[in-house]
Amino acid sequence: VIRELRFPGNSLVLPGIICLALLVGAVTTGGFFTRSNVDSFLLNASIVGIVATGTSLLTISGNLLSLGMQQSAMLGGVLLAVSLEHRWPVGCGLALAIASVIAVSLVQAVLVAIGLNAIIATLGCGTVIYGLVSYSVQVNGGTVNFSASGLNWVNGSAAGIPVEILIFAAVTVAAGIIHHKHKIGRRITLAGSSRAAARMSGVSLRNVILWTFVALGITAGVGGALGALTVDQATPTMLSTLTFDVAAAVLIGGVSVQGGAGSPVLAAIGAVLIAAFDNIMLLHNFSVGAQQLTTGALLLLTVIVMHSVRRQTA
Amino acid sequence: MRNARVIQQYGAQVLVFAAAWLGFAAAAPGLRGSAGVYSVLLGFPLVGLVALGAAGTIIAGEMDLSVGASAAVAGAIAVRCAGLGLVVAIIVPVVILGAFGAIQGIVIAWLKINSLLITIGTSIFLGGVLFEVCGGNPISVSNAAVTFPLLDRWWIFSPDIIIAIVVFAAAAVFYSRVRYGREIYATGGARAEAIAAGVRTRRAIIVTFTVSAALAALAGSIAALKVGGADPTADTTLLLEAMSAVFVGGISLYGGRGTVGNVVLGVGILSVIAAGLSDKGAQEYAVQLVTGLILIAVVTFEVLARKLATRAAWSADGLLGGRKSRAPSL
Repeated sequence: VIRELRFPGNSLVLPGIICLALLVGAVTTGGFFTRSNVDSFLLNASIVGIVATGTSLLTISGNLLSLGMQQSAMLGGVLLAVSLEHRWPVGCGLALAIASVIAVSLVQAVLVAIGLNAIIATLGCGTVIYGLVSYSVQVNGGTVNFSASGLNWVNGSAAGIPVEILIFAAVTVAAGIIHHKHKIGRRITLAGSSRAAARMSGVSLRNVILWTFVALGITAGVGGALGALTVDQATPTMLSTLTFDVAAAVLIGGVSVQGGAGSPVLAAIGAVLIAAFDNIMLLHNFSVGAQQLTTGALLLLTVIVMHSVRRQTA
Repeated sequence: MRNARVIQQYGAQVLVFAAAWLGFAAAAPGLRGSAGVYSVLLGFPLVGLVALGAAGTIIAGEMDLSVGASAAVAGAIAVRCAGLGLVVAIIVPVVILGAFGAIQGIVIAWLKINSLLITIGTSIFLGGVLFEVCGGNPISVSNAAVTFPLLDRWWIFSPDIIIAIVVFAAAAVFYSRVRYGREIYATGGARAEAIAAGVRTRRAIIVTFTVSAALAALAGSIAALKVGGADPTADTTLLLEAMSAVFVGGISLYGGRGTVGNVVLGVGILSVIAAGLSDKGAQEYAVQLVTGLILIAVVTFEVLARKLATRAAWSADGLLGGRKSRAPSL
């Protein structure tokens, strides 16, 4: 384990190969490297990427994945939309949205801390969130529309770069620093690589789970808020493919599902890789189905190759 | 002794089932008489068959998250094949998805890879396949007359309910009497011991994933033919409902325990609740809300009960004073 932590080379082989394939694809695709095209696929990657950085911490801590990301993000988006619709101060709306998502994440954290499989806990909680939000929104007609007063700048650009991409970059850097440098980040990695070792060295697994889910809540809240702000509305079915997209980004980025290896930065790179592949296929006029097929195939390939590499080195 | 075991295995579920039905029958007239039995039985051809397949993978100590996507793809293939006749339209997707499930099982069994991850990957992959089969838009059966036999109803029975009953009966025999079925229990209950005892655990895993995909395909194709169409973007909650039915029925999350009877009870309980709520005019999301709550409650209960049991065992041994032991999480 220690060797792998010091030389993460093995776990980077596959993302490297995928990057190479991508580079070949990009060079042979006319119009890929134009400024507007790069911006457009980075924009497509940003919400998935933001949520993937939080989810990757859950994976690194040894708790596999969350199957409730869409619902958590949607909760944030709908709450922000409702508060903007009622013309609350922007800060209040954002705080309410993100705090609520953190709160529902903490409920899931408690369930995982008492020993529930994270996949089942998040699947069940996600449905409950969906049911509750649908109930409240349906009362008002299903879709919450608003005019983004005071938050219009999110859809604009700063220094020539779209703000959404800047937020994506900021979240990635912050998550990366917390994971690499902060005490809790190191503990998350240790808990993922060996629960027994973590417990022996006095790491509280409960705290690890708690902080992981806080990170999950913050990123889901930010992702949901952005999802609502880009289209000026929110519905219970918004960002409908987010859960599986995030899982794909985390795994294709090369975050080890056994826990203990990988980083939020890799998950963000995974999201960008998928968006770039989709973009190349789009430029070659492939259908949406073919894009999804490729993502699924890439994901299976990554999981299988990483598993085999790990088994050989072990 | 035997009676005690039967009560332990089914008692709580039978009570919940009876209480739910009595409660809803009192409040919702749609749940009384043969109409009520019929609406509860209607839960078996779709959620029931998918849950039955998923239960096999869970008993084997694995978990198939691709059942929802398999059912959706099968539905689209069935609609495309409807011109060839009803029987062909049901059999073709079952064979195709069964083969897909077998490949999935082979990968999981030989590489000893986490089945949750492989099946998340195949779910995304199958989502793309669904899109391609439909050509990007909702499709419908070209000749609706082909599907009319599925809409027949005799008293509390319809063709799809009869198919479901036959499949459940066959599964009951398979799991309790056939060696392949017994191997699945050994594989999930204690894998290391099973391998040491010469049980062919790989075969058991491949069999469960094949059966799981084939049953999901059967359920999906019947459902799609019944409504006469398939939609590539349909937001399906089948996976959640099937998993909830499995765990509510009393199949253990830790593998190796549970029977077809447990699946029947789980599907029955959820079906009563869904039928009762929709009879009272509740929306789809209310049913989902209740299903999600029941799933969390049941799984939490099982985890806590197991924790208490391990704790008692530890303290009986005088180790760690019964404080530090933890139930293993899956």
